[in-house]
This record gives sequence, C-alpha cells and structure tokens, in this order.
Amino acid sequence: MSIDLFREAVTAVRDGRDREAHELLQELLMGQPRHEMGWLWLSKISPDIDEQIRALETVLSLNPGHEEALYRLPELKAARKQQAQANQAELLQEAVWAYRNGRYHQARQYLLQITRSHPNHLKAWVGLAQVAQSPAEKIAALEMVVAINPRHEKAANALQKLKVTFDDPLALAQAYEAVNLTDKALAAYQYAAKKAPNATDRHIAAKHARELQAIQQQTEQAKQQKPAPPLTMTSDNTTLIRLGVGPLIVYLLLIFIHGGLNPFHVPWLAYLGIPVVTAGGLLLAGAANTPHHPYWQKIFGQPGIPNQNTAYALAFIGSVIALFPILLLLTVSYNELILYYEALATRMN
Amino acid sequence: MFPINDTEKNRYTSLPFMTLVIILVNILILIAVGGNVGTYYVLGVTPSLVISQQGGGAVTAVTHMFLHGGLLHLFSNMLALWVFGRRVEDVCGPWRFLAFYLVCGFMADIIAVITRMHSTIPGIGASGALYGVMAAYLMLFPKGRIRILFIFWFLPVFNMNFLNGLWLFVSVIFWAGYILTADKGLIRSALSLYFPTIRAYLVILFFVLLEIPRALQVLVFDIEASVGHWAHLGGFLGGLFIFFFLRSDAFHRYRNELPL
Repeated sequence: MSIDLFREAVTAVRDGRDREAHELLQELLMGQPRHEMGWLWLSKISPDIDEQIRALETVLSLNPGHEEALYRLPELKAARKQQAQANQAELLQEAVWAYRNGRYHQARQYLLQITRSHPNHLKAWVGLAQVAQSPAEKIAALEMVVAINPRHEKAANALQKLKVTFDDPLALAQAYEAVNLTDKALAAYQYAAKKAPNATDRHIAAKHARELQAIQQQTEQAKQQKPAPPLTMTSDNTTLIRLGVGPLIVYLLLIFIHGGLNPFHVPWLAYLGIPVVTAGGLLLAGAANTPHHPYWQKIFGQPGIPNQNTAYALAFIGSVIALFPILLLLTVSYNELILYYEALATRMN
Repeated sequence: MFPINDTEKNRYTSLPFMTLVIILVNILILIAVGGNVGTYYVLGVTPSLVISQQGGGAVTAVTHMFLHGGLLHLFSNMLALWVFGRRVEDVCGPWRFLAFYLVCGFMADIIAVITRMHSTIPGIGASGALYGVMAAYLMLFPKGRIRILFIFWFLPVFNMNFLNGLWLFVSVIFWAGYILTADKGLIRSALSLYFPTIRAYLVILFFVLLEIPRALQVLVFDIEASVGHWAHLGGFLGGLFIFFFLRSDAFHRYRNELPL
C-alpha cells in the first residue's frame, strides 16, 4: 500500500498536482509515520512553511544525520522569521497608505491584524489609537502603548485627558474586546456589571462577562487537556516481518492442511521450505517498500533500495523464491490427488 | 438482507483489478465445470480425506474456493465480493489482497475440516474467503454505507421453524430500527425500505451473528448442513486475526495524532 501511495504522490508532484500529492502524502504518513522519504517530500510540496518545518524535524528525528534536512531546516526557520516580519511590515505599510488616503476603517483592520499576531507591536497600537472608532477604543489602544513603552509621553498625556472625561465602563469593555484584549475586556465587563450607570448596561455587561468567561474556560480546558498519546510505532523488526510474512502464512497454512491438520504428519521436506519462503517474502517486502531496519540500511546504505530498477529486480527474485516452495507443494499435492482418484477408479472398476 | 453495492468510493485506485480477476476466474471455472458433481468431489475439500492425508489437501484448499455449485451460489458470492472486496483491495493493493483472500479461504477450510472431521461431503465456494474480506471491511470501514436489498425479510414466513423464526425476528427488528432511526421521515424511509443504505457494521454483524446459532446447531446436533457455517465463521475469524495482528497500522486512520 505504502509504495503505491508514495509513487502516486511522486507522480502527482511531477504532474504538477501538488494539492493531490499533499493529500496522498498525508494519508501515507498517517499509516506509515516512519516513512522518511514521505516526510521529505511533504516538506518540499507543503504550501505551509510551518508544516514544512515540522516535516523536516520529523525527518531528522527518524534520521538525525539526514544531510538535506540538516541543510534545509535552518534555512526554512530563517525564512519563516523573515516571512513573519515581512508580513508585519507589509501590513503596516498598507495601514499607513490607507490612513493617508482617509480609509480609516481599512487602516484599522490592518492594524488589528498586526496586534492580533504581535500584541506588543508599538507602532500598530499607536496607529490604532489614531484610527480608533470610538473614544473607548482610543483609550484601549493608548493604554497598550503606555504599557509597552511607559516613557511615551504623548500617549500618556492623551490617555490622561481622555480618562478625565470618559465614564462609560461598558463601552470600554466592548472596546477592549474589539481590539482582542480579552483579559482586560473580561475585567472591564465584570466592573461594568457592578458599576455601570444604568440597569440595561449592567445586564449587558454581565451577559458579556459570562460569555467571555465561558470562552476563556474552554480555552483553558483545551490547553490543560492531555495531549493525545503518541503514535505507537512498530519497531523496525516488526515492520519488516509484518510486510514480508504474507507468503510465509500462506505456506504454513498449506503445509498444515497438507499434513492433515497435524504438524507431525507434515513431510520434513516441506519444513525446509519455511526459511526459503521467509527469505523470499522478506526480500520482496524490502524491495517493494522502504524498510528502515538497521541491517537493511547497513547493506544498502539507506532505507529501501537506491535504484528503482534494482528494486524491481529484487522484488521479482523475492517473488520467485517465495513462490517456489508454495508451487512445489501444490504440485506434489496435485499428484497425490490424481494418484488417489486413479486408485479409486481402478478399485471401482 | 442482501448487500448489493458499496456506496463509498475507492480512494486510491479506480479499478479493483484483483477483485475483478477473482470474479472472472470463478465465472470461467463454473462454465468449465458445468455442474459436474464429480469435479466437486475431486477439487472440493472433503474433510475425511484431508484428515487422512489423501486426495491432495493443499491443492483442494486452493481449488475449493473457486468452485461453485450453481449460478445462484456463484452470483451471491461474487456480488458480496464485489460489494466488500473493492475497498479492501483499494487499501491493501491487489497482490496483498489476493494473499489475504487465499489465507482467509485456508482458515475457513481448516475450521470447516476441524468441525466436520468425518464428513465425506466436499466443501466448495468462496464464502469462507468472503467472510474474511467482510471482516477486513468491518475493521477498515465500519461506518461505510452499503446499499442492501431488504426484500427477503418476509420469506421465512413460508417455511417457519425455529431458525427461520429467529431470522424473521432479527430482520423485523432491523427493519423497524431502520424506519424509526432514518432521518428522512417515516414515509420516505418506508418507501426506500427495499434498497436502503445502511452502515457496513450492521450488515456484516447481521450475517456473522446469524451464522453463530446455525454453526452451533451443526456442531451440537452433528447435522450435515448444506451451507458451510463453520467455514464462514473460520474465514471471518481468519480475517479478524490477520487485521488485528498483522495490520495494526490500519487502525491509525482512526487516530489523528500525527503532527500534520
């Protein structure tokens, strides 16, 4: 299964069907989490830089000396950092452009995007204070500016002036929520639920406080939940045996039936076939899959077979070796069948 | 209840190569044999001959699963293979599927011989291997949707005995359960009753659970049944055995623990 999936994925990549290849590789790696080549290809075609990094890290966990992964991983990490910074700078530029063209709403959206991913981005908070939709939102943004840089005198003064005239705890709480300051919003809602000037505001604040609290609890619970148990990986030995054991099971069952379901009645020559079928099965499995067994890697220098034509040839030889004792047994059994019915016919005549 | 199609699509391959080859071989062999009873005795698995090591037990273990007693026997088995075999082959690949199919047939053969050691009636048919394929389907796609024909549920009324009564009772329970739990309203579900699409585990467990009392009846009362109930159970257990111990990775698809 794995070799077919892997080949299909590689073909899909070569045909330019990256999305399909991505799905195929994910499916492959779900079944065969130790498929080093699968992880490597995933790192090459994934559109998500985080996934590329995770894939390369997995390659290194499977094979710590993997040269390509060792070389590409630091590059990718640097690229991710640069990408994040570039995104930030780009968004800030867009926000400035929107602000200069009087598109305050658009500028506010860009700045909110920055503050969501980088809560300590001073310039973004300063900008947000400029394009705030309400005095409450301006207060929220200025508070953040002062929190990040307590020496920002302009912001501190503006905040002080605003606070003197501002007395709407519910609006402030809503502003905190709008700029993604959830903890502050919750505290402000709880305050407003008690101190808001009218009953309607108090009722709304209490309702929002409950909702926010529920969301926070859910987030906390999700964080505290135990991570899923790690995938129990089959050992290298078991994997190779499992892949190559098919012909052996067929052979064992056949000699068991041939011996009248009594292992002691099985001809001793038939037992000689067991190592032959086992060797053939293992060779076939090794050639048709990508085993990571240390012995295998010692012989071939890497998981699987380096050359595709060699792999086909070895798979063919493995099939012949595995099938030979099975076909021999069936031939012997067929001869016995013919002899039995010939003798029966003779007796009846 | 009669499975007539698997409504789920194959994921990797569009052509179920080995399933089609097995079906074709079975059809050709039925045409070649042409209902010759003597062939069934020679190439079927006769338990007494297997135990006494006469009559080529190993070769008949292979040949018996490609022999069928008639058109209806062949049709029902091949339809079941078509329904359940496609997706199992899709997962395993054609050659592994063939090996799996044969091993399930051998397991069915062994259990059938052990339970009727002195019988001189040959066992034929692919149903033991098919029950193995059904076990694989149950393991891999328990929630797959199988379209079934539900027309036979009332047939046992015409020949009522204990087992047919049990069949009728279970069928009516399934029937009522289907109508009551279908989410498209009572009338529409009742209209679609004859070709409903139901979960694979219900279909497969229905067949397997029905085999158990019949198989016990054969064993306890030493009855020569015309159907190899123990072969069916043997094939099913063989399929389960293989998937539990040899293909544990098949279960990973149900777990989402990878850092993807």
